[in-house]
Amino acid sequence: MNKTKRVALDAVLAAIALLLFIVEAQMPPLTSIPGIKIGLANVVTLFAVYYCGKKDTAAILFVRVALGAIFAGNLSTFLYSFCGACFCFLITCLLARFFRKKVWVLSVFGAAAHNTGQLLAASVFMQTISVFWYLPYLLIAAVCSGAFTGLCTQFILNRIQNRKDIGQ
Amino acid sequence: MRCIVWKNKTALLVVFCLLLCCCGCGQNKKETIHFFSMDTIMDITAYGDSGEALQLARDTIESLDAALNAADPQSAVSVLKDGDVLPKIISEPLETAQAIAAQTNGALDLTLYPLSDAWGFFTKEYRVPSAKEIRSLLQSRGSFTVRDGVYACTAGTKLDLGSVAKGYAADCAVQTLRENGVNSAILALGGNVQTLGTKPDGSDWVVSVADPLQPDETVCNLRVGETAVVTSGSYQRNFTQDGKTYHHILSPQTGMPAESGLLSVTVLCENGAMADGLSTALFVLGAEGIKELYERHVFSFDALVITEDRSVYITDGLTDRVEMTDETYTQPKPLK
Amino acid sequence: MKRIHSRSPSNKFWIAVFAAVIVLCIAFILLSKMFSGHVAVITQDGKEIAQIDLSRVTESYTIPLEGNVILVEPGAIRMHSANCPDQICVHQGVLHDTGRIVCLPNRVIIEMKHTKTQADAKAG
Repeated sequence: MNKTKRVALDAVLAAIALLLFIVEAQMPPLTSIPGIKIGLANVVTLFAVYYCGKKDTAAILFVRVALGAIFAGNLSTFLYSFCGACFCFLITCLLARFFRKKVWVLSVFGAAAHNTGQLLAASVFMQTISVFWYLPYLLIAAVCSGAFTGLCTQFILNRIQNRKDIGQ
Repeated sequence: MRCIVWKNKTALLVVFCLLLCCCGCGQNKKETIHFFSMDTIMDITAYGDSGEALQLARDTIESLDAALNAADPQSAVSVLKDGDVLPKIISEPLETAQAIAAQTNGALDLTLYPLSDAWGFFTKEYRVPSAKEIRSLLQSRGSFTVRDGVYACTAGTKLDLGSVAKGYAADCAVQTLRENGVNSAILALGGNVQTLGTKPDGSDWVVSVADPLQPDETVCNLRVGETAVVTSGSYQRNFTQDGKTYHHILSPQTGMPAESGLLSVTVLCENGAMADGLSTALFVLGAEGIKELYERHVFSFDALVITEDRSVYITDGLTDRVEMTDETYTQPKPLK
Repeated sequence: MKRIHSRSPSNKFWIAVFAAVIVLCIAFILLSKMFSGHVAVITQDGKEIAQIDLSRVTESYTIPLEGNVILVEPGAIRMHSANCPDQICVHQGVLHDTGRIVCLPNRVIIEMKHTKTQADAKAG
């Protein structure tokens, strides 16, 4: 893949991630506990980790988080999702090599890291550790939504790997 | 490469169903606000997605508090003069109160503010006024009429809607909640309970009745649908002087705390202002007067009466709806 | 590649692990709900001032507020004094696991969290 193609692909992925993020932000909250959502944009992040590499993933993730905060949030949501995204990215990169064929497991770890990162940000931001009482709720949510987005990604990867003509 | 598919579609389906289960948790959402208004503490609880509705209901109550507070010389009710056209927020509770007064031989009187003030029930600097002072305050209390929405009063009349204000505020707050899409809520405005709809699962609300001798405890639980439940009792505001206890529900006849042999009266009525006004009037009337009024069917209400000998009496509509929680009181008997 | 794959745990293993995590979390939530029946929440003017887990209090201390003083004891909380004339909140006594104390003049509420009562509201 040459440089131009790579930049174009990254941009397309960032745009898709942003779109998913914004669409999801418009949907009514799933539960009364703040911070629980499916995290559809995570599908793109995971896909990028497998398909484009870590540097590109970091770029896509940052663009999505920054623009997402501009289009569908504010400074505090940016801080929360930035911390969440950083944690998620670190864990995903660290564990990626062990789960090359089990995207959904990696995705669950990523989602759990994302939620933990958000809680850390919230506890620093609000100067309280009592937000960690939410952790069990968020972990349950992470397992469900992580498995879901992971399986979605696995699905997409399979399709693409079966058709070598795309993206080459 | 096929190996990583691993029943991908089935797995996706299963996990999606799990996610949907998480959505289910959001359905029983319950939100409560506590705030202080009308000289008491208020709690409003709404079930389901209430959004801004709770705050709007609070705003409704606070604007009514500002308008109907007789102790505030700047409030709409205090600045009312002879010949003024009444705004809706005053005329509505006023009409309800007048209807009650007309049917109870004046047991509910909106012109007793100077008398209550002399007893110190507003300032909490309690004292027992002399018989002479009471007589002169009763004579000078004035009177008023409302014709075609115009207020007419004699000199010296001080209108006090305190006996129906909380009930009316509950009516308006329920209206606000309903307009904002809430269809299941319960309001406790300092002991005035008002329900909207049924509980989210369709079951009855359970409203407990305070023990008049130990207000932190309860006497019984009532199962109710959409209604107002208001209790008036001698325990709610009183003071003791020279070994005698004086409470805040004054008899318009004597100007003294009403002595009707009751500890408390709990009224259930669809209309909150009506329930509020009736509870005061019924306390003054006493058990016999309540039975007489109930049998005349001029107002649609039910009542639970607790008398000084720890007996509990109920009207017909409450049969099978009362569950006693304190065995030192009698089982509910039909009002006699 | 194939060898690594066969050595890494199977999908079933991970499903079991995550199911265990969910069960543990649910158990934790339920347990914490059961044991946090002794948390008192103090608010003044609608603003939360403190949350105190009464079961973890080992020594009595007071919390001075504008107009009121709250006394916190092991397993109990009460209004120690108030500057209002009627002293209703002071006479309301001690809270252990349920109920609440309200000071109207100073707009202070002491409420036990997760108070479970049969009734939805109280009239009177």
